[in-house]
Amino acid sequence: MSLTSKLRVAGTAWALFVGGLLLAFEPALRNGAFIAGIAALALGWLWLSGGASAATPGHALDELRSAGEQTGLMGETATTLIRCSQEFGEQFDETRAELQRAQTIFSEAIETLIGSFHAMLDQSKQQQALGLLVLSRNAGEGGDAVDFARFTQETSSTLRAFVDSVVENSKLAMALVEMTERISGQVREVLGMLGEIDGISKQTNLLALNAAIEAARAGEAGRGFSVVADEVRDLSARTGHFSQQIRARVGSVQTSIGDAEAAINRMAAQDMTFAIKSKQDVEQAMDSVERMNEATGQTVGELQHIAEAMERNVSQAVMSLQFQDMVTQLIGHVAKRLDELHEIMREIEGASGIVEQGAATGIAPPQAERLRGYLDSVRTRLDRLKETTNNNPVCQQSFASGEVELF
Amino acid sequence: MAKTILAIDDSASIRQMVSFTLKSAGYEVIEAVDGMDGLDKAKAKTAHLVLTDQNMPRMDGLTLIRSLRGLPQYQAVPILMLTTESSDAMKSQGRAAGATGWLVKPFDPQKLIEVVRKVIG
Repeated sequence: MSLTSKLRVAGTAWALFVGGLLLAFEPALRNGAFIAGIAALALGWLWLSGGASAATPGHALDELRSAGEQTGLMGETATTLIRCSQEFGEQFDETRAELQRAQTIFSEAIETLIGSFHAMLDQSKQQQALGLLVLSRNAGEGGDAVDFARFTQETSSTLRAFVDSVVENSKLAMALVEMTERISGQVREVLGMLGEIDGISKQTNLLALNAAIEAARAGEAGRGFSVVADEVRDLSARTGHFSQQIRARVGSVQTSIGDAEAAINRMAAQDMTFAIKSKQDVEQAMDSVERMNEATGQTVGELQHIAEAMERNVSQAVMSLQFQDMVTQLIGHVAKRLDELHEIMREIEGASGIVEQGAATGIAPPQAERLRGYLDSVRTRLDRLKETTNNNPVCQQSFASGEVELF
Repeated sequence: MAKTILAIDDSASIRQMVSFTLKSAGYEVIEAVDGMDGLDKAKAKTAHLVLTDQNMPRMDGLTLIRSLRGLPQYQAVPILMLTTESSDAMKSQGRAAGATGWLVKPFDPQKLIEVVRKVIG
């Protein structure tokens, strides 16, 4: 193959290679106009190099110091470019894989974040509703929360003391009824005694009457005895009168005692009914309080579960939020890789400029030296490329929490 | 009195998360933005625990650990690495530099608290 042909092949390949690089790196350039431009550049190079071949007489090539040297240089350039292409291809693959990993981490983290925050939102609402429920159950008149357990205990204690007191009063009332019955019996005994007194009074009156008759029969001698008989009759009448008065009063007392007994009976019966009902009410109230306590306990338990779930979600969210740091480091590493490639491309650009110029006018020794310098630099950079880009600071493939190791 | 933890990371979000997590567990947290800043703050007040990232501008974590271990007041203070780096080679370097432990990001807040409690109570 002649030098001209080699130049045509190498130049066309270079134009396509550079275009491919730019397409790979910059998605914005992936349009028809740019691709057409690359094609035009390749075709233009073919035309120019073909034209140069036709217009340049064979003797022009003789101006070059050594056709062999030129051919070697071109061959070396082509070899370096091929190596560049291979290395760049590998680097591009690595770059794409890293970017893909970054995207995966991003999407996983964002999904986790959205899920976590939605869950937190729902749980927060549930917690709020339950909190309001507990508040409405426990709030006092002024909206102040009270110590529910203490309130229950004190109420229960007070109500039981009240019921016990009422039951005790009922017992006392029953005792009072018995006492009034006894008093009533004693009053009847007193009335009975008054009957005896009445009898005595009547007998005394009868004796006085007999004494008066006997005194009248005795005549003047019985006059004094007649006075005594009158006095005895008078005493008998007064005794009978007092006995009637006492009977009336005792009868009144008996009536009052009967009324009191009836009242105490009613009171005892009423109090016992009230006490029994109160006791039932207290038991029902205590049951209600117990149910409320159970419900409160359940509510508090649910709140606890929600709080725990929320804590887990917040932890998950906090863990996921660390994606920023990881992705930043990953992208930084990709940038470092791209920087290295960019530097190599610059060297190749310089070299290709000399080759381009040399294809048209030949390569003078200073240009040849510069070209070798570019090529040496490219080779050195390529040798260093893997070393400088190998140390990726982010090795995680997923978003699980990292390992912990204590030395 | 709350124990003091010096948290060093060039990522503001990580510093914020570490600080929030440890403060909620009852610790006092001093933040530093890189190794150099961390070294200055470590000298200004001796912390009970140092928690540092590895890859940071100006001074990385390993260099910071070596510098801290050179200070008399930090010879026995636990130093934990909290980093995305997880290679055995890096861990060996950390251990050689004087690190007490190695935590790989991302960290679980509960696990971080557990580890810190295990190390300094």
